[in-house]
Amino acid sequence: MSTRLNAITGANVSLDVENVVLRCKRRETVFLTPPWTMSFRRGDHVAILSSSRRMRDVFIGSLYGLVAPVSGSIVSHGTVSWPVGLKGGLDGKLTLIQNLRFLAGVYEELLAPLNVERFLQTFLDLAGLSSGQMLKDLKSKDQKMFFAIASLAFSFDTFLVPTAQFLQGGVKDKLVQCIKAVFEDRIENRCMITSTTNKDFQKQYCNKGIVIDEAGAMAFQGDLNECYGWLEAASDSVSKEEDDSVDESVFLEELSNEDRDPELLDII
Amino acid sequence: MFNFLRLALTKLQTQISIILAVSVYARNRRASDSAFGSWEPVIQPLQLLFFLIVLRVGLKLVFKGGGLMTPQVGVITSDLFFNPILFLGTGISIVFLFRMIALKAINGLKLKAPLFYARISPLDIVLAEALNDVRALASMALIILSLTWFFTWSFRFDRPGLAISAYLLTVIMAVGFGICVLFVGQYLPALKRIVKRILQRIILWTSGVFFATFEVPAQLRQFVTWNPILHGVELFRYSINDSYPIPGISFTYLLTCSLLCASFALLLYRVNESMLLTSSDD
Repeated sequence: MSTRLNAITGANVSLDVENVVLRCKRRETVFLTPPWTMSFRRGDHVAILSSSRRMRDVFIGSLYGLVAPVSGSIVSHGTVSWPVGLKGGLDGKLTLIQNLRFLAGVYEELLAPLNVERFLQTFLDLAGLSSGQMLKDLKSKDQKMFFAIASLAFSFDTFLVPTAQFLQGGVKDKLVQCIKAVFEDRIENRCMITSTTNKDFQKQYCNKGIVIDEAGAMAFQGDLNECYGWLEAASDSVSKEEDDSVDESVFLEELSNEDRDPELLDII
Repeated sequence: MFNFLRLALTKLQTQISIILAVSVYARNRRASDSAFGSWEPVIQPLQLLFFLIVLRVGLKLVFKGGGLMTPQVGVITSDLFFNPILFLGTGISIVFLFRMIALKAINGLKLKAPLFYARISPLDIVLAEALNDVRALASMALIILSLTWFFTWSFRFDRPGLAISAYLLTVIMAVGFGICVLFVGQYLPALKRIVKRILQRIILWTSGVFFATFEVPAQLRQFVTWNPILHGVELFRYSINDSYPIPGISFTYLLTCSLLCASFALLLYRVNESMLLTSSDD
């Protein structure tokens, strides 16, 4: 079976993965995956299916550049989002609008809404929150919602979605519907790669799948329904629903702010 | 050619935008911890300035019994050119600028979370923190200058271009020096500790905060003019009042030291970018 997801057709390629070997950990054992080669194109919405949450997260982390592959190369043709819905570099001591303005400064030319304050306020009004609130003062659920909104303020060429928690909610939940509408708009004609275990999300948004077996080899790839069929035939544990929360330590290890600055009065 | 220039300008614009965003991020973090909010970075050096003024005036009264603003007849001192508050303020705004920026670079990054975003590199964070220190200490210098002008009703700023140059060169030198020490400190940890002690304690007393170079006897001058920070301080004072004598002080020397430090630092940074990620406190 060819290991190539798509034939490379010039400008449409968003991400090229060439002979990438990743270091993964299962319980106490560390192992190397066999080399992966694949291309992701514009319009591809790909679900990564694997029984190992960690392996999926390591793969998403490597596509973003936070996890260095042992060998091989990942070349992005365009901009790649940080894993949507993660805290990332946002700081609990900053207010919501300060955090979003920080991101708007860093990704200035990718900012989608004309007025970032109004964009944020639209969502916060629905959630009953204020943009002047500190991030750390929010409940965990509201924080996650904010992380997703912050990611969706930008138009990336490739979106990485490690969890679909921010889209979970009833049809009557106006906030979730609003986030969904923006999310759908952002990923339209763009590449989206997800490692979520949420089947509803996969069925609604993904058109392709990659199955990774327990040894880290790419076992199957193709249409999403074919992937499900393959998994059913193989009666792989992936088909079981599991918790969709992400282990952020895969992405954020050693990337936290420290507080102590040299005191000016130390001089005396 | 034009495409290259356009691309370079776009990249530069993005880089500046990133540094500004990180600097606001760092400022907001700091402000959230302080009762003074955004004014905290200015209040701290002002507190120190006030303490040093009291110290200096007190010592002067004890030893000479003279008035604060009355220069002594027949003796040429710095009081002839600057009032003591302005003299100390100009010194502190340069020396502390160097000290704060260099120490932050030597200590490595405390602000690491922004590195989550692939666009932000460790050097961006060092520069953003340096920008905040420049803003704080330049604001302090401007506040002192404005107050002095207001109370003495004599406006004087002879060479603003030189003042800005001295400031910027001090910043470049501090960033460069900090990164160089951090790099060498990986192999010689003792050096890092010694430099930090020097920066934290000795630098205040040797960089012209309390004395003017012309007040130092000509025979001893060569023992202090090796210090490029002294050149920055004296040039900054000279830029405000160009009748202020600066024997042995050279803009070229400050420029050379700054460029040398920055060049070596960029080379070392290119070799080992991750060295800035190891933060330490002694």
